[in-house]
Amino acid sequence: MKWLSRLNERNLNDYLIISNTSMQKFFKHRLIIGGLCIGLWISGYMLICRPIVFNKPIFIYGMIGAFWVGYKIPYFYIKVKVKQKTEQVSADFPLWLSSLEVLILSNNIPNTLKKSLMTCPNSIKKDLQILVNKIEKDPMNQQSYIEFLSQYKLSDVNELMLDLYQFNYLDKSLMISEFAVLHKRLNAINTSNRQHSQEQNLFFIGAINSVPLFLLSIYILLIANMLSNTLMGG
Amino acid sequence: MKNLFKINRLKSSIEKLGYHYSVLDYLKSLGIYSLLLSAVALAHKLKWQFAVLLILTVILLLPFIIYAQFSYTYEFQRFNDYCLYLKQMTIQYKTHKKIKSALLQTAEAFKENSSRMHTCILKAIEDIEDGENFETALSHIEDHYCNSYILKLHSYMILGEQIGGDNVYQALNNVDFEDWQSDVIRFQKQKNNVKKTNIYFTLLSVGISLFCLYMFPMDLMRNLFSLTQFQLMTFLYFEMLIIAYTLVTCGLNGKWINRKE
Repeated sequence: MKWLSRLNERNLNDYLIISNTSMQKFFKHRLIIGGLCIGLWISGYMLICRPIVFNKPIFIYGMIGAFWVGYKIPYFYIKVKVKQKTEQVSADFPLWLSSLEVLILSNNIPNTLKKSLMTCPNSIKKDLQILVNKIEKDPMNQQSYIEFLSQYKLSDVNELMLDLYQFNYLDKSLMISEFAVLHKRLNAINTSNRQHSQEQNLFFIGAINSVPLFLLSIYILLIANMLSNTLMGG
Repeated sequence: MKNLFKINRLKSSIEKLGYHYSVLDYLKSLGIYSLLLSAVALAHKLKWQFAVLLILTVILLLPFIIYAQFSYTYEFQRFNDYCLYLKQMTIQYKTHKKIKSALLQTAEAFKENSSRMHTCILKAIEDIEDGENFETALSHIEDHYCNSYILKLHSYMILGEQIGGDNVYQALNNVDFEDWQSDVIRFQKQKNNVKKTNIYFTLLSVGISLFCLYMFPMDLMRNLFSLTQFQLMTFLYFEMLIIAYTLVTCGLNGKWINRKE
Protein backbone atom coordinates (compact mmCIF):
# COMPACT_ATOMS: atom_id res chain seq x y z
CA MET A 1 0.00 0.00 0.00
CA LYS A 2 3.08 2.22 0.11
CA TRP A 3 2.70 3.09 -3.56
CA LEU A 4 -0.80 4.40 -2.84
CA SER A 5 0.69 7.11 -0.62
CA ARG A 6 2.40 8.46 -3.72
CA LEU A 7 -0.99 9.42 -5.07
CA ASN A 8 -1.55 11.61 -2.06
CA GLU A 9 -0.55 15.18 -2.92
CA ARG A 10 -0.42 16.76 0.50
CA ASN A 11 0.98 20.15 -0.46
CA LEU A 12 -1.05 20.64 -3.59
CA ASN A 13 -3.24 23.38 -2.10
CA ASP A 14 -0.19 25.33 -0.90
CA TYR A 15 1.45 24.98 -4.31
CA LEU A 16 -1.69 26.25 -6.02
CA ILE A 17 -1.83 29.30 -3.73
CA ILE A 18 1.87 30.12 -4.28
CA SER A 19 1.70 29.67 -8.04
CA ASN A 20 -1.59 31.58 -8.18
CA THR A 21 -3.40 28.80 -10.06
CA SER A 22 -7.01 27.78 -9.52
CA MET A 23 -7.89 24.15 -8.75
CA GLN A 24 -10.27 24.09 -11.74
CA LYS A 25 -7.59 25.19 -14.19
CA PHE A 26 -5.10 22.74 -12.72
CA PHE A 27 -7.57 19.84 -12.96
CA LYS A 28 -8.31 20.76 -16.57
CA HIS A 29 -4.57 20.60 -17.37
CA ARG A 30 -4.36 17.20 -15.70
CA LEU A 31 -7.16 15.79 -17.81
CA ILE A 32 -5.75 17.21 -21.05
CA ILE A 33 -2.21 15.92 -20.43
CA GLY A 34 -3.52 12.56 -19.12
CA GLY A 35 -5.63 12.25 -22.30
CA LEU A 36 -2.63 13.14 -24.46
CA CYS A 37 -0.51 10.48 -22.78
CA ILE A 38 -3.20 7.84 -23.34
CA GLY A 39 -3.40 8.95 -26.98
CA LEU A 40 0.37 8.63 -27.31
CA TRP A 41 0.30 5.17 -25.75
CA ILE A 42 -2.47 3.94 -28.07
CA SER A 43 -0.74 5.29 -31.20
CA GLY A 44 2.63 3.85 -30.08
CA TYR A 45 0.98 0.50 -29.35
CA MET A 46 -0.73 0.46 -32.75
CA LEU A 47 2.55 1.26 -34.48
CA ILE A 48 4.70 -1.33 -32.70
CA CYS A 49 2.42 -4.27 -31.83
CA ARG A 50 1.12 -6.35 -34.72
CA PRO A 51 -1.50 -7.77 -34.87
CA ILE A 52 -3.32 -5.09 -32.90
CA VAL A 53 -5.11 -6.68 -29.94
CA PHE A 54 -6.70 -4.25 -27.47
CA ASN A 55 -7.71 -6.70 -24.77
CA LYS A 56 -4.11 -7.70 -23.90
CA PRO A 57 -3.12 -6.96 -20.25
CA ILE A 58 -0.03 -5.03 -21.39
CA PHE A 59 -2.22 -2.62 -23.35
CA ILE A 60 -4.56 -2.02 -20.41
CA TYR A 61 -1.74 -1.63 -17.85
CA GLY A 62 0.13 0.63 -20.27
CA MET A 63 -2.97 2.80 -20.65
CA ILE A 64 -3.36 3.13 -16.88
CA GLY A 65 0.37 3.91 -16.56
CA ALA A 66 0.22 6.52 -19.33
CA PHE A 67 -2.76 8.23 -17.70
CA TRP A 68 -1.00 8.21 -14.31
CA VAL A 69 2.12 9.81 -15.84
CA GLY A 70 0.02 12.43 -17.62
CA TYR A 71 -2.02 13.03 -14.47
CA LYS A 72 1.16 13.58 -12.43
CA ILE A 73 3.06 15.83 -14.90
CA PRO A 74 1.18 19.08 -13.99
CA TYR A 75 1.76 18.35 -10.29
CA PHE A 76 5.51 17.88 -10.74
CA TYR A 77 5.65 20.97 -12.96
CA ILE A 78 3.92 23.12 -10.36
CA LYS A 79 6.12 21.60 -7.62
CA VAL A 80 9.32 22.58 -9.46
CA LYS A 81 7.98 26.10 -10.10
CA VAL A 82 7.09 26.55 -6.43
CA LYS A 83 10.50 25.25 -5.36
CA GLN A 84 12.19 27.80 -7.60
CA LYS A 85 10.00 30.59 -6.23
CA THR A 86 10.68 29.52 -2.64
CA GLU A 87 14.43 29.57 -3.30
CA GLN A 88 14.08 33.04 -4.80
CA VAL A 89 12.15 34.32 -1.78
CA SER A 90 14.64 32.69 0.57
CA ALA A 91 17.49 34.53 -1.22
CA ASP A 92 15.68 37.88 -1.53
CA PHE A 93 14.22 38.13 1.97
CA PRO A 94 17.53 38.61 3.91
CA LEU A 95 18.66 41.26 1.43
CA TRP A 96 15.38 43.12 1.75
CA LEU A 97 15.33 42.91 5.55
CA SER A 98 18.90 44.15 5.93
CA SER A 99 18.04 47.10 3.70
CA LEU A 100 15.36 48.13 6.22
CA GLU A 101 17.89 49.13 8.87
CA VAL A 102 18.58 52.50 7.34
CA LEU A 103 14.86 53.28 7.02
CA ILE A 104 14.09 52.06 10.56
CA LEU A 105 16.50 54.56 12.07
CA SER A 106 14.49 57.46 10.70
CA ASN A 107 10.96 55.96 10.52
CA ASN A 108 8.59 53.78 12.52
CA ILE A 109 8.08 50.16 11.43
CA PRO A 110 4.82 50.63 9.43
CA ASN A 111 6.36 53.57 7.53
CA THR A 112 9.60 51.66 7.00
CA LEU A 113 7.70 48.79 5.41
CA LYS A 114 5.67 51.15 3.26
CA LYS A 115 8.76 53.00 2.06
CA SER A 116 10.61 49.77 1.31
CA LEU A 117 7.89 48.81 -1.20
CA MET A 118 9.66 50.95 -3.81
CA THR A 119 12.92 49.03 -3.60
CA CYS A 120 11.86 45.57 -2.45
CA PRO A 121 12.58 42.54 -4.68
CA ASN A 122 9.78 41.50 -7.05
CA SER A 123 9.44 38.05 -5.49
CA ILE A 124 8.06 39.52 -2.24
CA LYS A 125 6.45 42.73 -3.49
CA LYS A 126 2.91 41.38 -3.67
CA ASP A 127 3.05 39.91 -0.15
CA LEU A 128 4.63 43.08 1.20
CA GLN A 129 1.82 45.16 -0.28
CA ILE A 130 -0.69 42.93 1.53
CA LEU A 131 1.27 43.30 4.78
CA VAL A 132 1.41 47.10 4.42
CA ASN A 133 -2.37 47.21 3.83
CA LYS A 134 -3.01 45.08 6.90
CA ILE A 135 -0.67 47.17 9.07
CA GLU A 136 -2.28 50.39 7.92
CA LYS A 137 -5.57 49.11 9.32
CA ASP A 138 -4.12 47.62 12.50
CA PRO A 139 -0.44 48.54 13.10
CA MET A 140 0.02 46.41 16.22
CA ASN A 141 -1.49 43.18 14.96
CA GLN A 142 1.20 40.52 15.38
CA GLN A 143 -0.71 38.07 13.19
CA SER A 144 -0.08 40.24 10.09
CA TYR A 145 3.67 39.84 10.61
CA ILE A 146 3.36 36.09 11.20
CA GLU A 147 1.33 35.61 8.04
CA PHE A 148 3.85 37.45 5.86
CA LEU A 149 5.32 34.90 3.35
CA SER A 150 4.00 32.10 5.59
CA GLN A 151 2.85 30.08 2.54
CA TYR A 152 6.53 29.32 1.75
CA LYS A 153 6.99 27.66 5.16
CA LEU A 154 10.41 29.23 5.75
CA SER A 155 11.07 29.11 9.48
CA ASP A 156 13.78 31.81 9.33
CA VAL A 157 11.39 34.24 7.69
CA ASN A 158 8.79 33.64 10.33
CA GLU A 159 11.22 34.23 13.21
CA LEU A 160 12.78 37.29 11.64
CA MET A 161 9.36 38.84 11.01
CA LEU A 162 8.53 38.38 14.69
CA ASP A 163 11.80 40.12 15.54
CA LEU A 164 10.77 42.94 13.25
CA TYR A 165 7.42 43.16 15.04
CA GLN A 166 9.25 43.54 18.36
CA PHE A 167 11.08 46.54 16.91
CA ASN A 168 7.75 48.40 17.22
CA TYR A 169 8.32 48.54 20.97
CA LEU A 170 12.06 49.25 20.92
CA ASP A 171 13.72 52.52 21.74
CA LYS A 172 15.62 54.07 18.82
CA SER A 173 18.87 54.03 20.79
CA LEU A 174 18.61 50.24 21.19
CA MET A 175 17.74 49.73 17.57
CA ILE A 176 21.35 49.62 16.27
CA SER A 177 22.51 46.98 18.74
CA GLU A 178 19.36 44.89 18.12
CA PHE A 179 19.83 45.17 14.41
CA ALA A 180 23.43 43.96 14.75
CA VAL A 181 22.05 40.72 16.23
CA LEU A 182 19.57 40.49 13.38
CA HIS A 183 22.39 41.07 10.90
CA LYS A 184 24.31 38.09 12.23
CA ARG A 185 21.36 35.84 11.49
CA LEU A 186 20.79 37.40 8.09
CA ASN A 187 24.44 36.87 7.23
CA ALA A 188 24.19 33.23 8.26
CA ILE A 189 21.17 32.79 5.95
CA ASN A 190 22.97 34.60 3.12
CA THR A 191 26.06 32.44 3.55
CA SER A 192 23.99 29.27 3.52
CA ASN A 193 22.13 30.37 0.34
CA ARG A 194 25.37 31.34 -1.34
CA GLN A 195 27.09 28.07 -0.49
CA HIS A 196 24.08 26.08 -1.69
CA SER A 197 24.12 27.78 -5.10
CA GLN A 198 27.91 27.36 -5.36
CA GLU A 199 27.63 23.64 -4.62
CA GLN A 200 24.95 23.27 -7.28
CA ASN A 201 27.13 25.03 -9.86
CA LEU A 202 30.10 22.85 -9.04
CA PHE A 203 28.01 19.71 -9.25
CA PHE A 204 26.94 20.41 -12.84
CA ILE A 205 30.42 21.38 -13.97
CA GLY A 206 31.89 18.38 -12.15
CA ALA A 207 29.46 16.17 -14.07
CA ILE A 208 30.81 17.46 -17.39
CA ASN A 209 34.28 16.84 -16.00
CA SER A 210 33.70 13.11 -16.03
CA VAL A 211 32.95 13.18 -19.78
CA PRO A 212 36.58 12.51 -20.93
CA LEU A 213 36.85 9.28 -18.94
CA PHE A 214 33.35 8.22 -19.97
CA LEU A 215 34.24 8.81 -23.63
CA LEU A 216 37.47 6.89 -23.19
CA SER A 217 35.69 3.82 -21.84
CA ILE A 218 33.21 3.86 -24.74
CA TYR A 219 36.09 4.30 -27.20
CA ILE A 220 38.04 1.36 -25.77
CA LEU A 221 34.92 -0.79 -25.77
CA LEU A 222 34.23 -0.05 -29.43
CA ILE A 223 37.88 -0.63 -30.41
CA ALA A 224 37.78 -4.03 -28.64
CA ASN A 225 34.57 -4.87 -30.47
CA MET A 226 36.03 -3.90 -33.86
CA LEU A 227 39.23 -5.79 -33.13
CA SER A 228 37.36 -8.97 -32.24
CA ASN A 229 35.26 -8.63 -35.41
CA THR A 230 38.44 -8.24 -37.48
CA LEU A 231 39.99 -11.30 -35.82
CA MET A 232 36.85 -13.41 -36.25
CA GLY A 233 36.64 -12.39 -39.88
CA GLY A 234 40.17 -13.70 -40.34
CA MET B 1 28.48 34.75 -27.41
CA LYS B 2 27.85 34.60 -31.17
CA ASN B 3 29.90 37.82 -31.39
CA LEU B 4 33.00 35.77 -30.71
CA PHE B 5 32.93 33.81 -33.95
CA LYS B 6 34.76 36.52 -35.91
CA ILE B 7 38.31 37.41 -34.92
CA ASN B 8 37.64 41.18 -35.01
CA ARG B 9 34.64 40.74 -32.76
CA LEU B 10 36.68 38.61 -30.38
CA LYS B 11 39.32 41.37 -30.36
CA SER B 12 36.76 44.08 -29.58
CA SER B 13 35.06 41.91 -26.92
CA ILE B 14 38.42 41.47 -25.17
CA GLU B 15 39.24 45.16 -25.55
CA LYS B 16 35.89 45.97 -23.89
CA LEU B 17 37.21 44.12 -20.85
CA GLY B 18 40.20 46.46 -20.88
CA TYR B 19 42.86 44.17 -22.35
CA HIS B 20 44.84 44.25 -25.57
CA TYR B 21 44.60 41.33 -27.96
CA SER B 22 46.03 41.22 -31.48
CA VAL B 23 45.36 39.01 -34.50
CA LEU B 24 48.94 37.76 -34.16
CA ASP B 25 48.19 36.52 -30.62
CA TYR B 26 45.16 34.69 -31.96
CA LEU B 27 47.15 33.10 -34.79
CA LYS B 28 49.83 32.00 -32.32
CA SER B 29 47.25 30.27 -30.11
CA LEU B 30 45.58 28.73 -33.13
CA GLY B 31 48.96 27.49 -34.42
CA ILE B 32 49.84 25.84 -31.10
CA TYR B 33 46.43 24.18 -30.70
CA SER B 34 46.42 23.00 -34.34
CA LEU B 35 49.93 21.55 -34.08
CA LEU B 36 49.09 19.68 -30.91
CA LEU B 37 45.88 18.36 -32.38
CA SER B 38 47.56 17.30 -35.64
CA ALA B 39 50.21 15.40 -33.67
CA VAL B 40 47.55 13.58 -31.62
CA ALA B 41 45.47 12.87 -34.74
CA LEU B 42 48.55 11.52 -36.52
CA ALA B 43 49.43 9.30 -33.58
CA HIS B 44 45.86 7.95 -33.63
CA LYS B 45 46.22 7.20 -37.36
CA LEU B 46 43.43 9.56 -38.32
CA LYS B 47 43.12 10.38 -42.01
CA TRP B 48 43.90 13.98 -42.95
CA GLN B 49 40.25 14.75 -43.81
CA PHE B 50 39.23 14.03 -40.23
CA ALA B 51 42.24 15.91 -38.87
CA VAL B 52 41.19 18.98 -40.88
CA LEU B 53 37.66 18.69 -39.49
CA LEU B 54 39.11 18.63 -35.96
CA ILE B 55 41.19 21.73 -36.67
CA LEU B 56 38.05 23.42 -38.03
CA THR B 57 36.32 22.64 -34.72
CA VAL B 58 39.23 24.22 -32.87
CA ILE B 59 39.00 27.32 -35.10
CA LEU B 60 35.32 27.53 -34.20
CA LEU B 61 35.75 27.01 -30.45
CA LEU B 62 39.08 28.74 -29.80
CA PRO B 63 37.56 32.27 -29.52
CA PHE B 64 35.40 31.02 -26.64
CA ILE B 65 38.41 29.55 -24.84
CA ILE B 66 40.46 32.73 -25.34
CA TYR B 67 37.59 34.96 -24.22
CA ALA B 68 37.07 32.79 -21.14
CA GLN B 69 40.74 33.22 -20.17
CA PHE B 70 40.51 37.02 -20.40
CA SER B 71 37.14 36.99 -18.68
CA TYR B 72 38.71 35.16 -15.73
CA THR B 73 41.42 37.84 -15.33
CA TYR B 74 38.81 40.58 -15.67
CA GLU B 75 36.51 39.06 -13.06
CA PHE B 76 39.46 38.56 -10.68
CA GLN B 77 40.39 42.24 -11.05
CA ARG B 78 36.76 43.28 -10.51
CA PHE B 79 36.46 41.18 -7.38
CA ASN B 80 39.61 42.78 -5.98
CA ASP B 81 38.11 46.19 -6.76
CA TYR B 82 34.95 45.32 -4.81
CA CYS B 83 36.92 44.15 -1.77
CA LEU B 84 39.38 47.04 -1.80
CA TYR B 85 36.56 49.57 -2.15
CA LEU B 86 34.47 48.09 0.68
CA LYS B 87 37.48 47.88 2.98
CA GLN B 88 38.85 51.33 2.20
CA MET B 89 35.50 53.13 2.29
CA THR B 90 34.54 51.60 5.64
CA ILE B 91 37.84 52.61 7.23
CA GLN B 92 38.01 56.04 5.61
CA TYR B 93 34.40 56.91 6.42
CA LYS B 94 34.86 55.90 10.04
CA THR B 95 37.98 58.10 10.18
CA HIS B 96 36.80 61.17 8.25
CA LYS B 97 33.01 60.89 8.78
CA LYS B 98 32.44 62.54 5.39
CA ILE B 99 31.60 60.79 2.14
CA LYS B 100 33.67 63.11 -0.02
CA SER B 101 36.81 62.74 2.10
CA ALA B 102 36.35 58.96 2.24
CA LEU B 103 35.98 58.82 -1.55
CA LEU B 104 39.09 60.98 -2.05
CA GLN B 105 41.17 58.72 0.19
CA THR B 106 39.76 55.55 -1.41
CA ALA B 107 40.50 56.89 -4.90
CA GLU B 108 44.17 57.09 -3.87
CA ALA B 109 44.17 53.33 -3.25
CA PHE B 110 42.96 52.71 -6.82
CA LYS B 111 45.39 55.10 -8.47
CA GLU B 112 48.00 52.46 -9.20
CA ASN B 113 45.83 49.70 -10.70
CA SER B 114 43.99 52.15 -13.04
CA SER B 115 40.75 50.16 -12.82
CA ARG B 116 37.26 51.29 -13.75
CA MET B 117 36.51 51.78 -10.06
CA HIS B 118 38.98 54.68 -9.98
CA THR B 119 37.06 56.43 -12.78
CA CYS B 120 33.72 55.77 -11.04
CA ILE B 121 34.99 57.21 -7.73
CA LEU B 122 36.34 60.32 -9.48
CA LYS B 123 32.95 60.82 -11.18
CA ALA B 124 31.19 60.50 -7.81
CA ILE B 125 33.55 63.09 -6.25
CA GLU B 126 32.95 65.41 -9.19
CA ASP B 127 29.17 65.12 -8.73
CA ILE B 128 29.42 65.87 -5.00
CA GLU B 129 31.55 68.93 -5.76
CA ASP B 130 28.92 70.05 -8.31
CA GLY B 131 26.28 69.93 -5.57
CA GLU B 132 24.50 66.74 -6.64
CA ASN B 133 22.91 64.66 -3.88
CA PHE B 134 24.82 61.67 -2.52
CA GLU B 135 22.45 59.08 -4.03
CA THR B 136 23.11 60.38 -7.54
CA ALA B 137 26.84 60.74 -6.95
CA LEU B 138 27.27 57.24 -5.56
CA SER B 139 25.11 55.73 -8.29
CA HIS B 140 28.17 56.03 -10.60
CA ILE B 141 29.78 53.33 -8.47
CA GLU B 142 26.59 51.30 -7.91
CA ASP B 143 25.82 51.15 -11.65
CA HIS B 144 29.11 49.47 -12.49
CA TYR B 145 29.72 47.65 -9.24
CA CYS B 146 26.29 46.57 -8.09
CA ASN B 147 26.40 44.47 -4.95
CA SER B 148 24.30 44.34 -1.78
CA TYR B 149 27.30 45.14 0.43
CA ILE B 150 28.15 48.25 -1.55
CA LEU B 151 24.48 49.34 -1.51
CA LYS B 152 24.33 48.76 2.24
CA LEU B 153 27.55 50.70 2.85
CA HIS B 154 26.30 53.60 0.76
CA SER B 155 22.96 53.67 2.62
CA TYR B 156 24.77 53.88 5.96
CA MET B 157 27.07 56.61 4.73
CA ILE B 158 24.20 58.69 3.39
CA LEU B 159 22.34 58.23 6.67
CA GLY B 160 25.50 59.24 8.53
CA GLU B 161 25.69 62.45 6.49
CA GLN B 162 22.00 63.17 7.12
CA ILE B 163 21.57 62.35 10.81
CA GLY B 164 25.14 61.72 12.00
CA GLY B 165 25.75 60.12 15.39
CA ASP B 166 27.98 57.33 16.59
CA ASN B 167 25.23 54.76 16.05
CA VAL B 168 25.57 55.03 12.30
CA TYR B 169 29.35 54.66 12.44
CA GLN B 170 28.95 51.59 14.63
CA ALA B 171 26.39 50.19 12.20
CA LEU B 172 29.08 50.19 9.51
CA ASN B 173 30.42 47.08 11.22
CA ASN B 174 27.29 45.29 10.00
CA VAL B 175 28.63 45.47 6.45
CA ASP B 176 30.64 42.34 7.18
CA PHE B 177 31.62 41.45 3.67
CA GLU B 178 34.52 39.26 4.87
CA ASP B 179 32.38 36.09 4.87
CA TRP B 180 31.26 36.80 1.34
CA GLN B 181 34.85 37.54 0.30
CA SER B 182 36.22 34.28 1.72
CA ASP B 183 33.29 32.31 0.24
CA VAL B 184 33.97 33.69 -3.23
CA ILE B 185 37.70 32.95 -2.93
CA ARG B 186 37.03 29.39 -1.72
CA PHE B 187 34.58 28.82 -4.57
CA GLN B 188 37.09 30.06 -7.13
CA LYS B 189 39.74 27.72 -5.70
CA GLN B 190 37.30 24.82 -6.04
CA LYS B 191 36.56 25.83 -9.62
CA ASN B 192 40.28 25.97 -10.38
CA ASN B 193 40.66 22.46 -9.02
CA VAL B 194 37.84 21.25 -11.26
CA LYS B 195 39.51 23.00 -14.22
CA LYS B 196 42.84 21.29 -13.49
CA THR B 197 41.14 17.91 -13.09
CA ASN B 198 39.46 18.43 -16.45
CA ILE B 199 42.85 19.01 -18.11
CA TYR B 200 44.35 15.94 -16.40
CA PHE B 201 41.36 13.76 -17.36
CA THR B 202 41.50 14.91 -20.99
CA LEU B 203 45.25 14.25 -21.23
CA LEU B 204 44.85 10.93 -19.44
CA SER B 205 42.08 9.88 -21.84
CA VAL B 206 44.23 10.73 -24.87
CA GLY B 207 47.20 8.91 -23.33
CA ILE B 208 45.24 5.74 -22.52
CA SER B 209 43.54 5.64 -25.94
CA LEU B 210 46.98 5.99 -27.57
CA PHE B 211 48.35 3.22 -25.37
CA CYS B 212 45.42 0.96 -26.35
CA LEU B 213 46.12 1.47 -30.05
CA TYR B 214 49.83 0.64 -29.75
CA MET B 215 49.45 -2.16 -27.22
CA PHE B 216 48.53 -4.73 -29.89
CA PRO B 217 50.82 -5.87 -32.71
CA MET B 218 50.92 -3.43 -35.61
CA ASP B 219 50.03 -6.14 -38.15
CA LEU B 220 46.76 -6.70 -36.35
CA MET B 221 45.95 -3.02 -35.94
CA ARG B 222 46.80 -1.98 -39.49
CA ASN B 223 43.53 -3.47 -40.76
CA LEU B 224 41.62 -1.64 -38.09
CA PHE B 225 43.13 1.77 -38.87
CA SER B 226 41.93 1.60 -42.46
CA LEU B 227 38.30 0.98 -41.42
CA THR B 228 35.97 3.97 -41.94
CA GLN B 229 34.16 2.93 -38.78
CA PHE B 230 37.39 3.33 -36.77
CA GLN B 231 38.19 6.68 -38.39
CA LEU B 232 34.71 8.03 -37.69
CA MET B 233 34.73 6.77 -34.13
CA THR B 234 38.14 8.28 -33.36
CA PHE B 235 37.07 11.55 -34.92
CA LEU B 236 33.89 11.66 -32.80
CA TYR B 237 35.92 10.78 -29.70
CA PHE B 238 38.21 13.78 -30.20
CA GLU B 239 35.37 16.04 -31.23
CA MET B 240 33.54 15.32 -27.96
CA LEU B 241 36.72 15.73 -25.92
CA ILE B 242 37.27 19.18 -27.44
CA ILE B 243 33.66 20.21 -26.84
CA ALA B 244 33.70 18.96 -23.23
CA TYR B 245 36.98 20.81 -22.58
CA THR B 246 35.52 24.04 -24.03
CA LEU B 247 32.30 23.69 -22.02
CA VAL B 248 34.17 23.21 -18.75
CA THR B 249 36.64 26.04 -19.49
CA CYS B 250 33.87 28.49 -20.41
CA GLY B 251 31.53 27.32 -17.65
CA LEU B 252 34.18 27.81 -14.98
CA ASN B 253 35.27 31.24 -16.08
CA GLY B 254 31.89 32.89 -15.69
CA LYS B 255 31.00 35.84 -13.48
CA TRP B 256 32.53 35.83 -10.02
CA ILE B 257 29.97 38.11 -8.47
CA ASN B 258 26.24 37.78 -8.66
CA ARG B 259 24.49 41.18 -8.78
CA LYS B 260 22.16 39.99 -6.04
CA GLU B 261 24.93 39.06 -3.61
